[in-house]
Amino acid sequence: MHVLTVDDSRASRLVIVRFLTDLGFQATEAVDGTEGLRYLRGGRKFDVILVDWEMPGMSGVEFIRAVRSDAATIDTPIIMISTLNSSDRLVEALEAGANEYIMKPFTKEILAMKLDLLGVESK
Amino acid sequence: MISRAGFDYVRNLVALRAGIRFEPGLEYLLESRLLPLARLYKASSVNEFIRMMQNGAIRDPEQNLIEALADKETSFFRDVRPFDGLRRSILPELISKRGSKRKLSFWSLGCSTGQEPYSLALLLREYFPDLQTWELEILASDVSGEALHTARAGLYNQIEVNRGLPAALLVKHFQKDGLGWRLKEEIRRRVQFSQLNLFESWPAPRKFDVILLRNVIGHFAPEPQSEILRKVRRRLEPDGLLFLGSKEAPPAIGEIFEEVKLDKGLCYRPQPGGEDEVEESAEDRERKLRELGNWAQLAQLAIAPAGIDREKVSALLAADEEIKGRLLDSLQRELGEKKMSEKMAGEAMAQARREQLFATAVTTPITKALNESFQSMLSVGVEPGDLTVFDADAQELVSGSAKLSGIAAGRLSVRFRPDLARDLTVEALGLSPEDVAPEVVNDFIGQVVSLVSNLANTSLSSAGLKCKLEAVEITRGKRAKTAMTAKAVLLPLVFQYQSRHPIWLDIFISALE
Repeated sequence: MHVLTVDDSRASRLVIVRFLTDLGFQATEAVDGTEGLRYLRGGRKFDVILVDWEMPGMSGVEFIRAVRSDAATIDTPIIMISTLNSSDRLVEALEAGANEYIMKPFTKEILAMKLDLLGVESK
Repeated sequence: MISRAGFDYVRNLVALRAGIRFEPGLEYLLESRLLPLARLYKASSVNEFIRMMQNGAIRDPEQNLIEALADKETSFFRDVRPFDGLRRSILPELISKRGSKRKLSFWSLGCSTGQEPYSLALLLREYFPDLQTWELEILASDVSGEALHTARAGLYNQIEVNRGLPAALLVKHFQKDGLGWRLKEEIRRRVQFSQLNLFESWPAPRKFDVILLRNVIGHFAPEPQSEILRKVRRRLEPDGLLFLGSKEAPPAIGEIFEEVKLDKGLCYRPQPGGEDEVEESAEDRERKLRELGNWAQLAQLAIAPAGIDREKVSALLAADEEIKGRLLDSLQRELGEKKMSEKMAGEAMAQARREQLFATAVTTPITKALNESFQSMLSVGVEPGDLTVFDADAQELVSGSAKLSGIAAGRLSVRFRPDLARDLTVEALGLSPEDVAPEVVNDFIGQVVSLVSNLANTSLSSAGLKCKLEAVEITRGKRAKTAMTAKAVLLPLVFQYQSRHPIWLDIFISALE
């Protein structure tokens, strides 16, 4: 199972990739939405996408809308990971097309549970 | 350090009364969990608190211990699969069978803080809207009054709602309430909570369609396991279903239930029979133990009357010198077998010292708000193996204004930039900036620093910490993120002690942007 993680913070990416690796997933990092879309449109297949909300340039929500507007990735599960934790923000992300939402700070167990909810298994 | 006799007293009591197990070697854990209770009763130490219990100076000592020691681990839609099974096959089948009665009943046993029965209520609401016109009953029971209090309030912290609860259900059925999220009344009122100790007498049998007994009896001894499973069978409809925890397989299950395979995982249907079984009364149990000559068990009954008439046991002991002598013998023998190895004792002592430091730190009142936020964070469990410690690379990843540096020779020094210190205080205590006097800032930061110092000592003396943390700096980031930074500082401290793992640096860093 291959996961694309889109986050401008190197620290965040480091944590997420560590968690994913421990959980038995393969991870590819993108430093912003543009790079993320480049990977996706370059024909690479991902089973899940994790995306941060607040990034320079394209925001996480804009990224999700772009992913959803492409027939090739219209159904790829997306989890938004963000410090934003108001109900309105969660609704905004879900309406844009996110399948799940993780509020920071989070643990590996929380990530595993969310992946489980989406029916994504490491093997 | 808790005395061996004290440890054994508490251990026997809670094992017999509620199936809570503390194996020798876990003295430090027991002591750290009892320390807040000891403080509450103004005992100078855990040993003194135990003596107070033995002398009858504490009202209902058993329940006090159960509250402090019961396992409260739970999450929304725990393990996902049983809920999938209910949704995809079990419930559709039950609904078609009960179409004429239009009635379904559920019982969540060992419901802890309520996530399990509420998950069930949410599932019914979301996927079976037609059932809204049926008579639906969801009962939920737990041994801990404290857990039930949380359950009834339906108020969960951010980490609890992050764990297993689909985001779509969170925004639809919960409302933000302070730092937490409160389940809406419409779902809350679907669940009736009641207190029940599985080791005591149960409410009179009545039938349920589905009983959830998940992650409750797995660590009980075989005898109570089988007794509880028989009681559950008597309370299930013949075509009703029992769910156990996904990793639980009590030896007796095959005699009492038959497996029902689900798409993923399994549940159980009652084997025929058991209708004539009479549930064992306390007197029966006492008589049986006497006949078996099980003096050790009888001795425990005398220490901790598990739902039996305390006066009767006293009378029995008073009347029969021979029994009394044999009881005492077997008690002593039991105690004699529990000698810990020296190494284990040493480790336990070091750990107890750390736990004590923590308990002291968190029970020192700073302000009510801070204490409450600590308490809510403390309720979050951390599984062994969850932890990843960052290597030296971490230090170059972040830079900023507050500095955690210089872990050397067992000391960690902490410096906060003054304006950050102020922001942290404002956020952590939930006060407006004008109300925060410099003394308050100093006091708060002092508390944080002392916690961090304890943390550093712990980390360095803990064999688990393999990496050396040279300098980790916290990025302050935008002002809007200060609250997160405050949590980033506090959470790892709490997790560290709560979990007895090395620094919870993952959260620390993942909270930063």
